[in-house]
Amino acid sequence: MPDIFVSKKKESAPSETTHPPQGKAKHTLPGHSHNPLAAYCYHPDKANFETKDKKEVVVLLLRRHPITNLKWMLIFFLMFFAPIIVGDFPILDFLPGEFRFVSLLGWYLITFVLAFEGFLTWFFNVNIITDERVVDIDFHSLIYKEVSDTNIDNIQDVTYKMGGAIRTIFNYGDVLIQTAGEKPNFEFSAVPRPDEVAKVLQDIMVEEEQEKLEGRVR
Amino acid sequence: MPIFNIPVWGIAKVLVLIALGLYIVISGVIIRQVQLMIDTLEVGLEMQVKAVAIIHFVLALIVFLIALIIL
Repeated sequence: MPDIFVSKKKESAPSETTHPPQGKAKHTLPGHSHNPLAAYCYHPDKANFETKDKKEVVVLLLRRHPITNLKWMLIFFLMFFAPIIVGDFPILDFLPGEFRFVSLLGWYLITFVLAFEGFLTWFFNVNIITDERVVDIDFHSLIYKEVSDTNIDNIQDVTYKMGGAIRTIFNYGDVLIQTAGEKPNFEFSAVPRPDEVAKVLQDIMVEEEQEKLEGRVR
Repeated sequence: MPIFNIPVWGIAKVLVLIALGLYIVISGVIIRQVQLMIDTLEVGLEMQVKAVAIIHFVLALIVFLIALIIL
């Protein structure tokens, strides 16, 4: 029997979260930044990681809030000016002049490497949210690297928390992602705008569900 | 300044040179670490970060040579 009425198939438009506008329009997205040092970058211009698929779209690149760098920066400044302050006190006077000079150079090398290590730890410890998964890249020390990821399908619950005066003033906090995967929890520590991060994750999860229903799963 | 015929500053010089030699090794490890980080993640600034690591290595070498010459 011929159908009397056949409704048009609904073609759902891909959301802006996982399919951003291209070209100049991309640069007007809220949270998008051209700064490679940005702690919160929505649809970054350049973000590649070892295990990224060619078709995978990086939605959000996160680092710890820049204010968390204050500790090593303070140590750097104290160490940098310490020889000038200590120079007035006769602590190293028992050393010959050339030994004092070399120890000063050594001191500044150590000061520099502490600051550089602090920067590297901040810059390369990132959390990445793509349209397919969540990736956590951690460098714990000079020689220890940990990269873990989980599919968006595995995410069961997203919680964010902000507490304390400094976190409230600078708008940063922790995002806790509970998963059904091998690694039960993912924690994005001290990331900026945790509420927006949770919202982006929710949007991607909804879209992933939609893709599953429509059979568009990659 | 020998104490009991032991050249104290000579021993100190050797110790300083050993410490600076170890520091050169550490700065080499830092270059390797930066390369590893860059291979893992590319977000811009890779060249600059690597340049800083290499400059640090060169500075460590220079300080070692200075210590070797003036001490």
